[in-house]
Amino acid sequence: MRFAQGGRRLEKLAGSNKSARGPSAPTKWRTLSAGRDPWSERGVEDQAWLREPRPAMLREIAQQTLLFPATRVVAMPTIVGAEDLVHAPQPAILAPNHESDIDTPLVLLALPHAWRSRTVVGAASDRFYRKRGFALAAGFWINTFPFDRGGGQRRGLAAAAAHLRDGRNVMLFPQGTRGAGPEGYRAGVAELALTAGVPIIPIHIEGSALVMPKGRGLNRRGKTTVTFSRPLQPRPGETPDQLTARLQTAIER
Amino acid sequence: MLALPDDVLIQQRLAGQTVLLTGASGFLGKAVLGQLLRELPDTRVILLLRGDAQQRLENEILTSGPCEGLDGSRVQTVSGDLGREGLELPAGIDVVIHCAASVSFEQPLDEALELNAKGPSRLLEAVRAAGSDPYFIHVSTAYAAGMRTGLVLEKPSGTAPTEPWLDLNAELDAAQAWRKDIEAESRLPQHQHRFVAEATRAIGPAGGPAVGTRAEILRYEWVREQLTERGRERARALGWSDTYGLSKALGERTIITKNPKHLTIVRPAIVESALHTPYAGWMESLKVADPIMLGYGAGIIPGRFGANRSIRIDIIPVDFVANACLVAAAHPPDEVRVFNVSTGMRNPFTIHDLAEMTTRYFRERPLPDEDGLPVSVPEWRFTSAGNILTKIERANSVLAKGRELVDKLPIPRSNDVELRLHKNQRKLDRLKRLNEIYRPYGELDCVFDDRNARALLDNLHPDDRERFGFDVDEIDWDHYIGEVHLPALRKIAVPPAPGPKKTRSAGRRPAPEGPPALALFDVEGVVLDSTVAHFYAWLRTRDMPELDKLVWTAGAATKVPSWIIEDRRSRTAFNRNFYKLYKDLPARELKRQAEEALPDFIQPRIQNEAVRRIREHKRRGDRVILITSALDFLVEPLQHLADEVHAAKLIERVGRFTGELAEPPLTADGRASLAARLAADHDVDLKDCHAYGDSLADLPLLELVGHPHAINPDFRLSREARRRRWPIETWGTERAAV
Amino acid sequence: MSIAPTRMIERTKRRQPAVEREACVVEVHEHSPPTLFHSGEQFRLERLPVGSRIVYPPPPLKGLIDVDAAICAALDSPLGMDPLDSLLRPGMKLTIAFDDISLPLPPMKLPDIRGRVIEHVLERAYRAGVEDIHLIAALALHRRMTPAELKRAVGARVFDEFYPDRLYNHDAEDPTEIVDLGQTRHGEAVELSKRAAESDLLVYVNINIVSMDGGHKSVAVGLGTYNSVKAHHNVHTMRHSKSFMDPNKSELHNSANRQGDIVEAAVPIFHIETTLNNDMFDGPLSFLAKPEARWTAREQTTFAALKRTTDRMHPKLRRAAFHKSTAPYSITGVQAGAVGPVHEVTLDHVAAQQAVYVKGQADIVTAGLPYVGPYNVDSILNPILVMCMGLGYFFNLYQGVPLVREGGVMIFTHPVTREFHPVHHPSYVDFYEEVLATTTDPVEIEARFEKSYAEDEWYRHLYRTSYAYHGVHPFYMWYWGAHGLQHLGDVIFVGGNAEACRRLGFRRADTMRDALEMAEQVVGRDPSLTHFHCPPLFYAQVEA
Repeated sequence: MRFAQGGRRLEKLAGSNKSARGPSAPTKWRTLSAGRDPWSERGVEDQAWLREPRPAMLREIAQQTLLFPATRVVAMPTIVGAEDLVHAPQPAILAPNHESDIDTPLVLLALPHAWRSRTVVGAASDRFYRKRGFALAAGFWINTFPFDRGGGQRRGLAAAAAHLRDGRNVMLFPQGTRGAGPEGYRAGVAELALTAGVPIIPIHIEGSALVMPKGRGLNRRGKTTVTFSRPLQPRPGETPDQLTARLQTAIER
Repeated sequence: MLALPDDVLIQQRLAGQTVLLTGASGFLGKAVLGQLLRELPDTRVILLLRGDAQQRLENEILTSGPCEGLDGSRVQTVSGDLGREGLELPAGIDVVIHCAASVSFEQPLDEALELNAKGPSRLLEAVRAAGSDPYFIHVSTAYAAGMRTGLVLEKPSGTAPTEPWLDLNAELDAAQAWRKDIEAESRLPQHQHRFVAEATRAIGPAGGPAVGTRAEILRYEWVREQLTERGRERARALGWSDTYGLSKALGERTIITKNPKHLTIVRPAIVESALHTPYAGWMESLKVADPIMLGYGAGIIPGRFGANRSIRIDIIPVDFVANACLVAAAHPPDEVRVFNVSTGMRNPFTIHDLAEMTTRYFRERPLPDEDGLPVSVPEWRFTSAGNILTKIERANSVLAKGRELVDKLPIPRSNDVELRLHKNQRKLDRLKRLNEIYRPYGELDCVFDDRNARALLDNLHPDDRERFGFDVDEIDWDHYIGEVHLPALRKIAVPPAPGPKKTRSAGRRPAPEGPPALALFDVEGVVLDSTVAHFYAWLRTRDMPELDKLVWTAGAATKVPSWIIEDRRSRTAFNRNFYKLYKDLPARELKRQAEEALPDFIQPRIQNEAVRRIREHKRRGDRVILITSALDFLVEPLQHLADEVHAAKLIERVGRFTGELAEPPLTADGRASLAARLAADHDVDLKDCHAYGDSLADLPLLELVGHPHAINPDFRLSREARRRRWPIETWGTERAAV
Repeated sequence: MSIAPTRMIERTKRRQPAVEREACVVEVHEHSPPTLFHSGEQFRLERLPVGSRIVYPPPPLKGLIDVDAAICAALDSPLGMDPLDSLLRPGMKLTIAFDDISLPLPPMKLPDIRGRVIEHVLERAYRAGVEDIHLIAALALHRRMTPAELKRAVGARVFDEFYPDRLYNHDAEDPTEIVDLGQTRHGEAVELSKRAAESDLLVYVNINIVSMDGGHKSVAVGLGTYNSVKAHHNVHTMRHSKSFMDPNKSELHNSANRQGDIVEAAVPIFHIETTLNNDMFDGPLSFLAKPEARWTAREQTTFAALKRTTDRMHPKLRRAAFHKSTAPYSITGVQAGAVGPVHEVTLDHVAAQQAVYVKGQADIVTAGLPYVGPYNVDSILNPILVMCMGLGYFFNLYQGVPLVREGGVMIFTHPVTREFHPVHHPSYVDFYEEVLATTTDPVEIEARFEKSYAEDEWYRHLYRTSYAYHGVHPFYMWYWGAHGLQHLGDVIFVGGNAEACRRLGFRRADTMRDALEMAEQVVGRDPSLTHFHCPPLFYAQVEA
């Protein structure tokens, strides 16, 4: 049907047709709280703004004044091989063995500033990125990004690859979790290195299990050693398992 | 005991024997009976039941799980009560399996002792009096050993190391003396005041008799509570966790003194749903930990418990216990033998594991809450019992203050507030009760030795292992809790989802045909959406100019809060005091003004559903009676609506009202008596009558008739109505349009 | 009896009034402005499809200059009867009955014509020495008039003198006040008010705003009871009244005429009938009767302001404002005498003002329902009254054949809110909740429910002592639309409340376009549409 088109001025003046004001719907109804909404994403996203220059500066200051001195007091670290890192190319994957939560600050304080300022740490999203506060704290103190451990680490490794592409060093733990033992090396880090074409720097941390064991907080003071090895370049045609074996030997040596 | 497997099947061993089974209406008893009927066709069974035994056998027992579909014709029944003297039993009994006990944890000590402690010996004496000297199998409980730590040996009570000596008669006499004392104390003034105050708070306006009844109920409950607590304290003082364990221990000791020919004492731990027979997950009612698990799953108790998470919890499926009893029945011992049927020794299972499994199950398959949405369960937190108690006490005091406030101040929307307070109070009470009862079990750090039971199991003929097996090693706790027991609990607790319903709901109309009856309607709130005060305000302000009306209304508004409080307390007193306002008002003028009441006041406030309902009653032939506390000349037009109108009348003198009512106000039980008298006058049965009320003042009337309806009830009446499952309806007026 | 010449109006318009009104039927073209639709207490501007017709009401005729003179002339030279003065003698029983508040709509500006006529009659009565005079509001089963409404109708002087013992409302349920006058040859009972039946002369003062009113219907129905009204207010009669506005073809009027003959035989009746023009809108709002294309800029602005204000007002304030408005009706004729000749002249006058000739029926007819009908003066137009307004009145405002073809669709605009006035329409609430919830078929409703409502004691009491319509009245409202229900294929309400429309058995749409789309499903593609631009009141003389 075609409708008449005249009388626009009248129509505009008079406004639209309003239906009768019936009983308005209640503005507020009782909200049922039935637990957390299962459809909402349970987790906090990556707080990328903490990598901006100013927050990074703040972080450096905080680390140097608070975190690292505390770590030194508690862990009494001896650092071996950090000077050779000057010769190693960036970006790279830093791959330490993982026994305790104090591993990350240990490695960070062992790194030279040039490396540390460009390093992001992969932190398990189901552990660190559940609550907003924890995420912010981890992101601030040790410059983490959420690493999704679920589903064969696909998403986590992809995130890490993105950081590598941006030119940042990524610190990932090949064992995947604390206390997995010398047989617990997974192939994820090797896959990442092969796909992104970056070297892996094996790091051996000794003695941290006593200082801050899994499941408890600070246990006691103890001597720790952080040993940096020569970078492992992925050979062409190498499978991830082979690279992982090499990495394992390099770390556990 | 023999460690070699048998070469004779149990069926053959028990062939031709007569078994007397007590407690067949209970959980374990039914399982035993089921196994008897299914696997031992050559054994005669006699059941001892309370009440009409044959009827109970047919209606209750043979229709339930384990006995379903089995032939019950060779089962003989005897009626009798183990709690009292004077049992009579037939002769020729070879084996007695005594499962009858009272398993409530909240029982006064004297009742528990009568049944659990004296019961077995009474039974044995009655069987001996009939002429047989049977093999007695006594089903006790593992916790009859008391609150021990470490290994609990399979020795009967009284012979295990470090046990106190007990004198059954002394305990029984003391318990009965307590009952007398506490009954007497409950009638003392200080307690009576408390009960009456509580009853008044709950249903005060319902009138004297109703309050009295409620106070008496409260007194009875208090007496029971006190006796239970005393019993529990006594049991704990002696070293048992509650009266159940103590009474069972005494039962063991007593039966040993009676020296039966052969005696086996079976001590199961916590008996829960069946694992294999009759089907995985058969259970009847909620046992020890079940209310806690269900309450946790439904979100009505917080996940906090005063227990130690690493101690073992001993759950055993009921069919294992039944099998153990029957296997024991087939192997009479030479001397008294005790079996612990439990899992703690070989297949331990801690409270922490149970909590984890429960959380996991309810996270995967949540229960629906009252709105149908899934409940999200919190993590379990185990703290010390003392902590929990302080928290509960604190919350309790806050709630009590809140409720006091609601009583004293007339706050708007008090219904919602009261509802919330009530719910929270119930939650708290529940938690307190559960904590109190199950505290010892959360701290009982012992392991039940089951060497004898294991030996008995090894004794089984290989063919019998499947039929009568009770090997606790085969229980996989994940499977049992997550796939057998919790789903069974869930089936009991959660009704199946209703199918799609039609959108037009069947109204609660009276049935079209029926015997002649009365239909009693309270006018305020049911037929008219107004109160006595509204009538008064309208009457006084009818011919006032606008400004005066405002001033007068403002003046009246200051008195409204006190009216509301008084009305909450007692409708009768409120009516009397309110009508005093009519003092010295000219009667004739007010009556003339009231002639305009119909279009000006009554019609805008009529609830049309009431008129329709009245019409329906009239169509049925009922006599419709309106009862109101308003004045008769105001509600005169309503005489054309109903058959009778009972209203209030003011005394007139010299053309002016004196402010006094001619008769006591018609509220609370006055209405109930009026209804009774009318029913008698018209020769009508009160069971057929209908009554419609809206406040607690109508409660006695609603209780009296057979078809009560609560219309637009306030919180307290709706609580009563919901408790008694009366229909609750909401009626509205057309006033909003005018 | 002398037959005096008819009066007043220009002869030219008498013979073929309708044909000359062709200017009232307007076709919508590309550049037409939107059309005004009344929607209860609001206004809508709707765009109609190109090619549809709009039937506008005729412009109001000029009224009499000297109404009093006209009244005197009519009383002195009545049609078919002797002059009034000769009929009055001292000591006689005189009863004056007059139309109740359902006419005119909206209420006339003071002084009401009924008051003026009554004063003339009373003057002559006093001069003749009559003392026993009663004034009755002839309301049949409608609601009683409040004292304020009575005062407005008869005038302050008459009211002060006669109220409350000699000026009162007709009570159809008072058994002591009713006489049975027998039955017509078709078996219809005839009952009448006792005072009226026993009078020596009954003077009836009537206002005719539509051709349905007046004639025998005034007395036989107005002073009748449920038993007598039942004879023609039933589904069968309603369905065979095609239409109410055409007394020749209306079963309703046939039945009323039969009853009227019996009444006339019992008591002499002096009918005074007046006709009004259709000047419904007061002063600055008089443009609402004009075609929209003729509105000046000033009028457009006024309308815009009116619409915006009424849209935003609080519903209760709005309702009060609307019901307070009065119409500046002018009298176009006064006739008196015997019912036959008087009513003929009256119908001529009405046709002169209201008839519009329309050629051809339409598939779809649209109309905007106003806020007031005969049964909700100072009250609320509840859903049942909306149905009566739309299907009972607007559908039946035709002579010849209905404006909408058989199986066609009528689209109304009205909010149809589920609101009932608790004092005036109590039985309507129960009708809506009980009867309509079960069925909407008029025949079934009549068979199952009418009796119980008519004899209900509570409704009877409310009708007699309060200001409520009789318990059976909602049924008559429903039967009023029975012909429409039978004839139409569908009824759609634009902007109507979904719940109420569903209960009534109709459909609803949010906008006119949606409604037209829905209607197309029923009547087919590219339907022909006619908009009936009423109020002001008029009827269509439709030729198929």
